Amino acid sequence: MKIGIFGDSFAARPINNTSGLEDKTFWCDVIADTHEVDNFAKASSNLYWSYKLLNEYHHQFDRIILVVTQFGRLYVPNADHEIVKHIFSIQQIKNLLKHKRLNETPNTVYQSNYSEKDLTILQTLLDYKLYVEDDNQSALFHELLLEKIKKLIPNIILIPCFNGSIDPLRYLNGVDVKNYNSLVDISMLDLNYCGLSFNSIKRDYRCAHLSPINNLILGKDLITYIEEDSKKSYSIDMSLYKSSSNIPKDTFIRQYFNFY
Amino acid sequence: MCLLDIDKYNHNNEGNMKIGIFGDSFAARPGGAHVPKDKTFWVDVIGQVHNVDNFGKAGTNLYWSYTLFKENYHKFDLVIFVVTGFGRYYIPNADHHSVKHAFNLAQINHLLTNGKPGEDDSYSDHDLTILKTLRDYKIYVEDDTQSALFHELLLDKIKSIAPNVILIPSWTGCLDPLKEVYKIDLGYIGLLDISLIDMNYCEISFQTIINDKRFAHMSPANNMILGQDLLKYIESDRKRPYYVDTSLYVSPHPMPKEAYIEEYFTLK
Repeated sequence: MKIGIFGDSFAARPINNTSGLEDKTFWCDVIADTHEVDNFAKASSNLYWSYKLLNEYHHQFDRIILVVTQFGRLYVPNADHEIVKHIFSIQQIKNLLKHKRLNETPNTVYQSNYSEKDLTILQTLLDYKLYVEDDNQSALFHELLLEKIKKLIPNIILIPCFNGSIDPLRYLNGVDVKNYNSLVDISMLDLNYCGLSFNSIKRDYRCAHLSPINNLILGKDLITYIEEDSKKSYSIDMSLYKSSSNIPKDTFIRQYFNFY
Repeated sequence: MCLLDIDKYNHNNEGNMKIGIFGDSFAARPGGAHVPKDKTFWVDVIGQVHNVDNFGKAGTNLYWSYTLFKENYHKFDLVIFVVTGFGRYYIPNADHHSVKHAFNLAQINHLLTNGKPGEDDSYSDHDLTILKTLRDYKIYVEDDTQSALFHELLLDKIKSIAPNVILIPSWTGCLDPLKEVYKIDLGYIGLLDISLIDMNYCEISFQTIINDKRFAHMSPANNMILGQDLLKYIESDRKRPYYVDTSLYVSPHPMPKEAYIEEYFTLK
Protein backbone atom coordinates (compact mmCIF):
# COMPACT_ATOMS: atom_id res chain seq x y z
CA MET A 1 0.00 0.00 0.00
CA LYS A 2 1.10 3.60 -0.53
CA ILE A 3 0.99 5.29 2.86
CA GLY A 4 1.38 9.00 3.54
CA ILE A 5 2.41 10.09 7.03
CA PHE A 6 1.74 13.63 8.22
CA GLY A 7 2.13 15.43 11.52
CA ASP A 8 4.61 16.89 13.98
CA SER A 9 7.72 15.56 15.77
CA PHE A 10 5.89 12.40 16.86
CA ALA A 11 6.13 11.33 13.23
CA ALA A 12 9.47 12.98 12.43
CA ARG A 13 13.06 11.81 12.57
CA PRO A 14 15.10 14.22 14.76
CA ILE A 15 16.92 16.57 12.42
CA ASN A 16 20.34 16.63 14.06
CA ASN A 17 22.74 14.56 16.12
CA THR A 18 21.12 11.20 15.43
CA SER A 19 24.28 9.71 13.96
CA GLY A 20 25.57 8.82 17.43
CA LEU A 21 22.50 6.76 18.30
CA GLU A 22 23.09 3.03 18.45
CA ASP A 23 19.48 2.15 17.72
CA LYS A 24 17.61 4.38 15.31
CA THR A 25 14.39 2.35 15.17
CA PHE A 26 11.60 4.64 13.97
CA TRP A 27 7.97 3.58 13.70
CA CYS A 28 7.61 5.12 10.23
CA ASP A 29 10.54 2.98 9.00
CA VAL A 30 8.92 -0.10 10.55
CA ILE A 31 5.83 0.52 8.41
CA ALA A 32 8.08 1.25 5.41
CA ASP A 33 9.55 -2.26 5.70
CA THR A 34 6.14 -3.56 4.62
CA HIS A 35 4.53 -0.68 2.72
CA GLU A 36 5.60 2.20 0.49
CA VAL A 37 5.79 5.22 2.81
CA ASP A 38 6.18 8.96 2.21
CA ASN A 39 6.71 10.97 5.37
CA PHE A 40 5.71 14.67 5.38
CA ALA A 41 5.95 15.19 9.14
CA LYS A 42 7.86 18.10 10.60
CA ALA A 43 8.82 18.82 14.19
CA SER A 44 7.04 21.79 15.85
CA SER A 45 4.52 22.13 13.04
CA ASN A 46 0.88 22.88 13.70
CA LEU A 47 -2.27 21.24 12.38
CA TYR A 48 -2.83 23.91 9.73
CA TRP A 49 0.59 23.20 8.26
CA SER A 50 -0.21 19.46 8.03
CA TYR A 51 -3.67 20.27 6.62
CA LYS A 52 -2.09 22.25 3.80
CA LEU A 53 0.13 19.31 2.88
CA LEU A 54 -2.76 16.84 3.21
CA ASN A 55 -4.87 18.96 0.91
CA GLU A 56 -2.13 18.89 -1.68
CA TYR A 57 -0.95 15.28 -1.47
CA HIS A 58 -3.61 13.02 0.09
CA HIS A 59 -4.84 11.75 -3.27
CA GLN A 60 -1.44 10.13 -3.92
CA PHE A 61 -1.93 7.57 -1.13
CA ASP A 62 -4.03 4.51 -0.35
CA ARG A 63 -3.94 5.27 3.36
CA ILE A 64 -3.02 8.35 5.38
CA ILE A 65 -1.71 8.48 8.94
CA LEU A 66 -2.00 11.87 10.64
CA VAL A 67 -0.28 12.33 13.95
CA VAL A 68 -2.44 15.09 15.45
CA THR A 69 -0.55 17.76 17.34
CA GLN A 70 -1.92 20.08 20.02
CA PHE A 71 -3.84 23.33 19.47
CA GLY A 72 -2.24 26.74 19.94
CA ARG A 73 0.83 26.18 17.78
CA LEU A 74 1.56 28.87 15.23
CA TYR A 75 2.62 28.75 11.60
CA VAL A 76 4.11 32.06 10.48
CA PRO A 77 4.83 31.84 6.75
CA ASN A 78 6.11 35.41 6.76
CA ALA A 79 9.11 34.56 9.00
CA ASP A 80 12.56 34.20 7.48
CA HIS A 81 13.94 31.36 9.59
CA GLU A 82 12.41 27.90 9.51
CA ILE A 83 12.43 27.72 13.32
CA VAL A 84 10.46 30.98 13.62
CA LYS A 85 7.92 29.78 11.05
CA HIS A 86 6.90 26.91 13.37
CA ILE A 87 6.29 28.06 16.93
CA PHE A 88 4.95 25.52 19.38
CA SER A 89 4.96 27.14 22.83
CA ILE A 90 5.63 30.28 24.81
CA GLN A 91 8.63 28.58 26.43
CA GLN A 92 10.12 27.95 23.00
CA ILE A 93 9.66 31.63 22.05
CA LYS A 94 11.37 32.70 25.28
CA ASN A 95 14.25 30.31 24.63
CA LEU A 96 14.68 31.50 21.06
CA LEU A 97 14.76 35.15 22.15
CA LYS A 98 17.11 34.43 25.04
CA HIS A 99 19.54 32.22 23.17
CA LYS A 100 19.77 34.54 20.21
CA ARG A 101 20.66 37.46 22.38
CA LEU A 102 23.14 35.63 24.60
CA ASN A 103 24.42 33.40 21.81
CA GLU A 104 24.37 30.49 24.24
CA THR A 105 23.91 27.65 21.80
CA PRO A 106 26.76 27.76 19.30
CA ASN A 107 26.54 24.11 18.29
CA THR A 108 22.86 23.60 17.70
CA VAL A 109 20.36 24.28 14.98
CA TYR A 110 19.49 27.46 16.85
CA GLN A 111 22.88 28.99 16.17
CA SER A 112 21.77 31.09 13.19
CA ASN A 113 21.34 34.75 13.92
CA TYR A 114 17.76 35.69 13.41
CA SER A 115 16.91 38.62 11.17
CA GLU A 116 15.53 41.78 12.75
CA LYS A 117 12.18 40.84 11.25
CA ASP A 118 12.26 37.42 12.93
CA LEU A 119 13.18 38.97 16.27
CA THR A 120 10.20 41.33 15.90
CA ILE A 121 8.00 38.36 15.05
CA LEU A 122 9.24 36.43 18.09
CA GLN A 123 8.66 39.39 20.42
CA THR A 124 5.20 39.91 18.92
CA LEU A 125 4.37 36.22 19.33
CA LEU A 126 5.52 36.32 22.94
CA ASP A 127 3.21 39.28 23.66
CA TYR A 128 0.45 37.66 21.64
CA LYS A 129 0.69 34.49 23.74
CA LEU A 130 0.85 36.49 26.98
CA TYR A 131 -1.84 39.10 26.39
CA VAL A 132 -4.01 38.29 23.39
CA GLU A 133 -4.41 34.61 22.63
CA ASP A 134 -7.72 33.03 23.57
CA ASP A 135 -7.44 29.26 24.00
CA ASN A 136 -11.09 28.76 23.12
CA GLN A 137 -10.63 30.28 19.68
CA SER A 138 -7.38 28.39 19.02
CA ALA A 139 -8.98 25.13 20.14
CA LEU A 140 -12.07 25.73 18.01
CA PHE A 141 -9.96 26.38 14.90
CA HIS A 142 -8.03 23.17 15.59
CA GLU A 143 -11.24 21.19 16.06
CA LEU A 144 -12.95 22.56 12.93
CA LEU A 145 -9.81 21.88 10.93
CA LEU A 146 -9.79 18.30 12.16
CA GLU A 147 -13.46 17.92 11.13
CA LYS A 148 -12.52 19.26 7.69
CA ILE A 149 -9.66 16.75 7.41
CA LYS A 150 -11.96 13.86 8.38
CA LYS A 151 -14.44 14.90 5.70
CA LEU A 152 -11.65 15.18 3.14
CA ILE A 153 -10.16 11.76 4.00
CA PRO A 154 -12.82 9.63 5.72
CA ASN A 155 -10.54 6.62 6.33
CA ILE A 156 -7.65 8.67 7.71
CA ILE A 157 -5.84 7.15 10.70
CA LEU A 158 -5.66 9.79 13.42
CA ILE A 159 -3.15 9.36 16.24
CA PRO A 160 -3.28 11.94 19.03
CA CYS A 161 0.08 13.30 20.16
CA PHE A 162 -1.32 14.80 23.35
CA ASN A 163 -4.37 14.65 25.55
CA GLY A 164 -6.79 17.01 23.86
CA SER A 165 -5.25 16.76 20.39
CA ILE A 166 -8.44 15.21 19.01
CA ASP A 167 -11.05 17.16 20.99
CA PRO A 168 -9.34 20.28 22.30
CA LEU A 169 -12.53 22.08 23.36
CA ARG A 170 -13.56 19.24 25.64
CA TYR A 171 -10.02 19.11 26.98
CA LEU A 172 -10.02 22.86 27.58
CA ASN A 173 -13.32 22.71 29.42
CA GLY A 174 -12.20 19.72 31.50
CA VAL A 175 -14.82 17.39 30.00
CA ASP A 176 -13.90 13.70 30.07
CA VAL A 177 -10.25 14.56 29.49
CA LYS A 178 -8.68 11.13 29.72
CA ASN A 179 -10.81 9.11 27.35
CA TYR A 180 -7.94 8.13 25.03
CA ASN A 181 -4.20 7.58 25.20
CA SER A 182 -1.78 9.65 23.20
CA LEU A 183 1.77 9.34 21.94
CA VAL A 184 3.03 11.57 24.73
CA ASP A 185 1.86 8.91 27.21
CA ILE A 186 4.21 6.42 25.54
CA SER A 187 6.96 9.03 25.46
CA MET A 188 6.53 9.66 29.19
CA LEU A 189 7.31 6.01 30.03
CA ASP A 190 11.00 6.78 29.36
CA LEU A 191 10.92 10.25 30.87
CA ASN A 192 9.29 8.98 34.05
CA TYR A 193 11.84 6.17 34.25
CA CYS A 194 14.64 8.76 33.98
CA GLY A 195 12.95 11.17 36.41
CA LEU A 196 12.74 13.86 33.70
CA SER A 197 10.10 16.04 32.09
CA PHE A 198 9.92 17.76 28.70
CA ASN A 199 10.55 21.07 30.47
CA SER A 200 13.85 19.86 31.87
CA ILE A 201 15.40 18.78 28.56
CA LYS A 202 16.65 20.81 25.61
CA ARG A 203 16.95 18.05 23.03
CA ASP A 204 15.18 14.74 22.69
CA TYR A 205 17.14 12.51 20.30
CA ARG A 206 14.63 9.67 20.42
CA CYS A 207 12.97 9.12 17.06
CA ALA A 208 9.41 10.47 17.44
CA HIS A 209 10.11 11.00 21.18
CA LEU A 210 9.84 7.24 21.72
CA SER A 211 12.41 4.63 22.69
CA PRO A 212 13.52 2.22 19.95
CA ILE A 213 11.49 -0.61 21.42
CA ASN A 214 8.35 1.51 21.60
CA ASN A 215 8.91 2.77 18.04
CA LEU A 216 9.00 -0.88 16.98
CA ILE A 217 5.83 -1.73 18.91
CA LEU A 218 3.95 1.29 17.51
CA GLY A 219 5.04 0.51 13.94
CA LYS A 220 3.94 -3.12 14.23
CA ASP A 221 0.65 -2.18 15.89
CA LEU A 222 -0.11 0.22 13.05
CA ILE A 223 0.72 -2.40 10.41
CA THR A 224 -1.70 -4.80 12.12
CA TYR A 225 -4.39 -2.11 12.23
CA ILE A 226 -3.91 -1.20 8.56
CA GLU A 227 -3.96 -4.83 7.42
CA GLU A 228 -7.03 -5.70 9.49
CA ASP A 229 -8.80 -2.85 7.66
CA SER A 230 -10.68 -2.19 10.88
CA LYS A 231 -13.71 0.08 10.90
CA LYS A 232 -12.90 1.11 14.45
CA SER A 233 -10.80 4.23 15.05
CA TYR A 234 -7.18 3.53 15.85
CA SER A 235 -6.44 3.76 19.56
CA ILE A 236 -3.21 3.51 21.51
CA ASP A 237 -3.12 0.49 23.80
CA MET A 238 -0.72 1.45 26.59
CA SER A 239 -0.43 -2.14 27.77
CA LEU A 240 1.70 -2.86 24.68
CA TYR A 241 4.42 -0.39 25.53
CA LYS A 242 7.48 -0.79 27.72
CA SER A 243 9.65 1.37 29.91
CA SER A 244 13.40 1.29 29.26
CA SER A 245 14.20 -0.23 32.65
CA ASN A 246 16.57 -2.76 31.08
CA ILE A 247 18.94 0.14 30.26
CA PRO A 248 20.62 1.98 33.16
CA LYS A 249 18.96 5.36 33.66
CA ASP A 250 22.20 7.34 33.19
CA THR A 251 23.01 5.51 29.98
CA PHE A 252 19.53 6.20 28.60
CA ILE A 253 19.76 9.88 29.54
CA ARG A 254 23.23 10.25 28.00
CA GLN A 255 22.12 8.51 24.83
CA TYR A 256 18.86 10.33 24.22
CA PHE A 257 18.68 13.68 26.00
CA ASN A 258 20.51 16.99 26.12
CA PHE A 259 19.93 19.62 28.82
CA TYR A 260 19.78 23.42 29.14
CA MET B 1 -40.11 55.33 -0.78
CA CYS B 2 -42.39 52.27 -0.59
CA LEU B 3 -44.21 51.78 2.66
CA LEU B 4 -44.36 48.50 4.46
CA ASP B 5 -47.65 46.67 4.02
CA ILE B 6 -47.76 45.26 7.53
CA ASP B 7 -51.22 43.71 7.12
CA LYS B 8 -49.99 41.64 4.19
CA TYR B 9 -47.24 40.12 6.28
CA ASN B 10 -49.39 39.61 9.32
CA HIS B 11 -51.78 37.47 7.33
CA ASN B 12 -49.36 35.09 5.71
CA ASN B 13 -48.59 31.67 7.15
CA GLU B 14 -45.08 32.55 8.22
CA GLY B 15 -46.10 35.70 10.10
CA ASN B 16 -44.99 36.26 13.70
CA MET B 17 -42.01 34.00 13.56
CA LYS B 18 -39.35 34.28 16.22
CA ILE B 19 -36.30 35.60 14.40
CA GLY B 20 -32.79 35.98 15.81
CA ILE B 21 -30.42 38.42 14.14
CA PHE B 22 -26.66 38.09 14.58
CA GLY B 23 -23.75 39.99 13.14
CA ASP B 24 -21.66 43.16 13.09
CA SER B 25 -22.48 46.85 12.65
CA PHE B 26 -24.54 46.10 9.55
CA ALA B 27 -27.05 44.58 11.95
CA ALA B 28 -26.54 46.98 14.86
CA ARG B 29 -28.25 50.13 16.04
CA PRO B 30 -25.53 52.80 16.39
CA GLY B 31 -24.81 54.04 19.88
CA GLY B 32 -23.51 57.48 20.80
CA ALA B 33 -25.09 60.85 21.38
CA HIS B 34 -25.84 61.83 17.79
CA VAL B 35 -28.81 59.97 16.42
CA PRO B 36 -30.29 60.96 13.05
CA LYS B 37 -33.89 62.24 12.82
CA ASP B 38 -35.01 59.32 10.71
CA LYS B 39 -34.21 56.15 12.61
CA THR B 40 -35.49 53.61 10.11
CA PHE B 41 -33.61 50.39 10.72
CA TRP B 42 -34.04 47.22 8.65
CA VAL B 43 -34.11 45.11 11.82
CA ASP B 44 -37.08 47.15 13.10
CA VAL B 45 -38.82 46.76 9.73
CA ILE B 46 -38.70 43.00 10.21
CA GLY B 47 -39.59 43.52 13.89
CA GLN B 48 -42.88 45.14 12.87
CA VAL B 49 -44.01 41.80 11.46
CA HIS B 50 -42.07 39.21 13.39
CA ASN B 51 -40.83 38.79 16.90
CA VAL B 52 -37.17 39.82 16.59
CA ASP B 53 -34.20 39.56 18.96
CA ASN B 54 -31.16 41.43 17.70
CA PHE B 55 -27.66 40.32 18.80
CA GLY B 56 -25.81 42.48 16.25
CA LYS B 57 -22.86 44.47 17.63
CA ALA B 58 -20.54 46.88 15.86
CA GLY B 59 -16.89 45.86 15.38
CA THR B 60 -17.46 42.20 16.22
CA ASN B 61 -15.93 39.22 14.46
CA LEU B 62 -17.55 36.02 13.28
CA TYR B 63 -16.34 34.01 16.29
CA TRP B 64 -18.10 36.41 18.67
CA SER B 65 -21.37 36.11 16.74
CA TYR B 66 -20.89 32.34 16.48
CA THR B 67 -20.67 31.94 20.27
CA LEU B 68 -23.90 33.94 20.72
CA PHE B 69 -25.55 32.05 17.87
CA LYS B 70 -24.59 28.67 19.37
CA GLU B 71 -26.05 29.69 22.70
CA ASN B 72 -29.30 31.12 21.33
CA TYR B 73 -30.19 29.75 17.88
CA HIS B 74 -32.55 27.12 19.30
CA LYS B 75 -34.82 29.87 20.63
CA PHE B 76 -35.71 31.01 17.10
CA ASP B 77 -37.74 29.80 14.14
CA LEU B 78 -35.33 31.54 11.85
CA VAL B 79 -31.90 33.11 12.10
CA ILE B 80 -30.55 35.99 10.00
CA PHE B 81 -26.77 36.12 10.16
CA VAL B 82 -25.01 39.21 8.85
CA VAL B 83 -21.58 37.80 8.11
CA THR B 84 -18.66 40.12 8.71
CA GLY B 85 -15.19 39.87 7.14
CA PHE B 86 -12.29 37.68 8.23
CA GLY B 87 -9.29 39.00 10.18
CA ARG B 88 -11.21 40.74 12.96
CA TYR B 89 -10.38 39.96 16.58
CA TYR B 90 -12.21 39.07 19.72
CA ILE B 91 -9.99 39.47 22.78
CA PRO B 92 -11.95 38.46 25.87
CA ASN B 93 -8.96 39.32 28.00
CA ALA B 94 -9.06 43.06 27.13
CA ASP B 95 -10.56 45.59 29.54
CA HIS B 96 -12.31 48.00 27.15
CA HIS B 97 -14.91 46.88 24.62
CA SER B 98 -13.22 48.76 21.76
CA VAL B 99 -10.06 46.72 22.38
CA LYS B 100 -12.01 43.48 22.82
CA HIS B 101 -13.42 43.99 19.33
CA ALA B 102 -10.48 45.41 17.38
CA PHE B 103 -11.33 45.07 13.72
CA ASN B 104 -8.50 46.34 11.53
CA LEU B 105 -5.07 47.92 11.50
CA ALA B 106 -6.36 51.44 10.80
CA GLN B 107 -8.71 51.21 13.80
CA ILE B 108 -5.95 49.84 16.04
CA ASN B 109 -3.67 52.74 15.04
CA HIS B 110 -6.54 55.18 15.59
CA LEU B 111 -7.22 53.79 19.07
CA LEU B 112 -3.51 53.96 19.95
CA THR B 113 -3.33 57.58 18.82
CA ASN B 114 -6.69 58.90 19.99
CA GLY B 115 -7.63 56.74 22.97
CA LYS B 116 -11.06 55.47 23.90
CA PRO B 117 -13.75 56.58 21.44
CA GLY B 118 -15.99 59.19 23.09
CA GLU B 119 -14.38 58.86 26.53
CA ASP B 120 -11.92 61.11 28.31
CA ASP B 121 -9.89 58.61 30.33
CA SER B 122 -7.11 56.63 28.70
CA TYR B 123 -6.76 52.90 28.12
CA SER B 124 -5.31 50.70 30.86
CA ASP B 125 -1.67 49.68 30.41
CA HIS B 126 -2.96 46.17 29.78
CA ASP B 127 -5.13 47.37 26.86
CA LEU B 128 -2.31 49.49 25.44
CA THR B 129 -0.07 46.42 25.43
CA ILE B 130 -2.80 44.45 23.68
CA LEU B 131 -3.28 47.17 21.06
CA LYS B 132 0.46 47.40 20.35
CA THR B 133 0.68 43.60 20.13
CA LEU B 134 -2.26 43.49 17.73
CA ARG B 135 -0.70 46.21 15.58
CA ASP B 136 2.57 44.27 15.32
CA TYR B 137 0.71 40.99 14.86
CA LYS B 138 -1.21 42.50 11.93
CA ILE B 139 1.96 43.89 10.38
CA TYR B 140 4.44 41.05 10.90
CA VAL B 141 2.64 37.82 11.76
CA GLU B 142 -0.91 37.49 10.53
CA ASP B 143 -1.47 35.12 7.63
CA ASP B 144 -4.64 35.98 5.70
CA THR B 145 -5.02 32.43 4.45
CA GLN B 146 -5.25 31.01 7.98
CA SER B 147 -7.62 33.76 9.17
CA ALA B 148 -9.81 33.25 6.09
CA LEU B 149 -9.82 29.47 6.57
CA PHE B 150 -10.92 29.79 10.21
CA HIS B 151 -13.69 32.17 9.11
CA GLU B 152 -14.81 29.75 6.40
CA LEU B 153 -14.79 26.73 8.74
CA LEU B 154 -16.87 28.68 11.26
CA LEU B 155 -19.34 29.59 8.55
CA ASP B 156 -19.61 25.90 7.54
CA LYS B 157 -20.26 25.07 11.19
CA ILE B 158 -23.00 27.70 11.45
CA LYS B 159 -24.65 26.31 8.30
CA SER B 160 -24.45 22.76 9.68
CA ILE B 161 -26.05 23.82 12.98
CA ALA B 162 -28.89 25.79 11.35
CA PRO B 163 -29.31 24.78 7.71
CA ASN B 164 -32.08 27.37 7.19
CA VAL B 165 -29.95 30.29 8.39
CA ILE B 166 -30.16 33.37 6.15
CA LEU B 167 -26.64 34.57 5.48
CA ILE B 168 -26.11 38.17 4.39
CA PRO B 169 -22.56 39.21 3.57
CA SER B 170 -21.50 42.53 5.08
CA TRP B 171 -19.23 42.89 2.09
CA THR B 172 -17.87 40.95 -0.84
CA GLY B 173 -15.77 38.01 0.32
CA CYS B 174 -17.42 37.60 3.72
CA LEU B 175 -19.08 34.33 2.65
CA ASP B 176 -16.05 32.75 1.00
CA PRO B 177 -12.98 34.59 2.20
CA LEU B 178 -10.46 32.12 0.79
CA LYS B 179 -11.67 32.99 -2.69
CA GLU B 180 -11.17 36.63 -1.79
CA VAL B 181 -7.63 35.92 -0.55
CA TYR B 182 -6.87 34.11 -3.80
CA LYS B 183 -8.58 36.92 -5.75
CA ILE B 184 -11.14 34.63 -7.36
CA ASP B 185 -14.24 36.35 -8.72
CA LEU B 186 -17.00 36.06 -6.11
CA GLY B 187 -20.06 36.95 -8.15
CA TYR B 188 -22.00 38.60 -5.34
CA ILE B 189 -22.08 41.85 -3.43
CA GLY B 190 -22.68 42.73 0.20
CA LEU B 191 -24.34 45.34 2.39
CA LEU B 192 -21.29 47.55 2.06
CA ASP B 193 -22.24 48.13 -1.56
CA ILE B 194 -25.57 49.59 -0.41
CA SER B 195 -23.71 51.67 2.15
CA LEU B 196 -21.42 53.05 -0.52
CA ILE B 197 -24.32 54.40 -2.59
CA ASP B 198 -24.67 57.26 -0.08
CA MET B 199 -20.96 57.69 0.38
CA ASN B 200 -20.31 57.88 -3.33
CA TYR B 201 -23.12 60.42 -3.60
CA CYS B 202 -21.43 62.49 -0.88
CA GLU B 203 -17.95 61.84 -2.34
CA ILE B 204 -16.61 60.52 0.95
CA SER B 205 -15.20 57.18 2.06
CA PHE B 206 -14.95 55.20 5.32
CA GLN B 207 -11.37 56.45 5.54
CA THR B 208 -12.50 60.09 5.59
CA ILE B 209 -15.11 59.79 8.34
CA ILE B 210 -14.85 59.34 12.11
CA ASN B 211 -18.47 58.53 12.75
CA ASP B 212 -21.23 56.95 10.67
CA LYS B 213 -24.58 57.71 12.28
CA ARG B 214 -26.61 55.78 9.71
CA PHE B 215 -28.37 52.74 11.07
CA ALA B 216 -26.48 49.68 9.79
CA HIS B 217 -24.40 52.08 7.63
CA MET B 218 -27.37 52.62 5.32
CA SER B 219 -29.77 55.48 4.60
CA PRO B 220 -33.29 55.26 6.08
CA ALA B 221 -34.69 54.55 2.60
CA ASN B 222 -32.27 51.70 2.04
CA ASN B 223 -32.88 50.31 5.53
CA MET B 224 -36.56 50.20 4.63
CA ILE B 225 -35.88 48.52 1.29
CA LEU B 226 -33.58 45.92 2.86
CA GLY B 227 -36.11 45.15 5.60
CA GLN B 228 -38.91 44.74 3.06
CA ASP B 229 -36.78 42.65 0.75
CA LEU B 230 -35.90 40.35 3.64
CA LEU B 231 -39.55 40.08 4.63
CA LYS B 232 -40.37 38.99 1.08
CA TYR B 233 -37.53 36.48 1.14
CA ILE B 234 -38.64 35.10 4.52
CA GLU B 235 -42.11 34.63 3.09
CA SER B 236 -40.74 32.79 0.03
CA ASP B 237 -39.72 29.12 -0.06
CA ARG B 238 -36.10 30.23 0.62
CA LYS B 239 -34.71 27.55 -1.63
CA ARG B 240 -32.18 29.89 -3.19
CA PRO B 241 -29.74 31.74 -0.90
CA TYR B 242 -30.54 35.35 -0.12
CA TYR B 243 -28.57 37.80 -2.17
CA VAL B 244 -28.31 41.58 -2.08
CA ASP B 245 -29.77 43.09 -5.26
CA THR B 246 -28.30 46.59 -5.52
CA SER B 247 -30.75 47.54 -8.26
CA LEU B 248 -33.40 47.86 -5.51
CA TYR B 249 -31.53 50.51 -3.56
CA VAL B 250 -31.61 54.29 -3.96
CA SER B 251 -29.20 57.18 -3.59
CA PRO B 252 -30.06 60.12 -1.28
CA HIS B 253 -30.69 62.36 -4.31
CA PRO B 254 -32.22 65.03 -4.29
CA MET B 255 -31.17 65.67 -0.65
CA PRO B 256 -28.26 68.14 -0.83
CA LYS B 257 -24.93 66.47 -0.30
CA GLU B 258 -23.86 68.85 2.49
CA ALA B 259 -27.12 68.34 4.40
CA TYR B 260 -26.76 64.56 4.11
CA ILE B 261 -23.18 64.67 5.37
CA GLU B 262 -24.17 66.89 8.28
CA GLU B 263 -27.01 64.58 9.26
CA TYR B 264 -25.19 61.28 9.03
CA PHE B 265 -21.43 61.67 9.22
CA THR B 266 -18.66 63.17 11.32
CA LEU B 267 -15.75 63.89 9.03
CA LYS B 268 -12.11 63.63 10.10
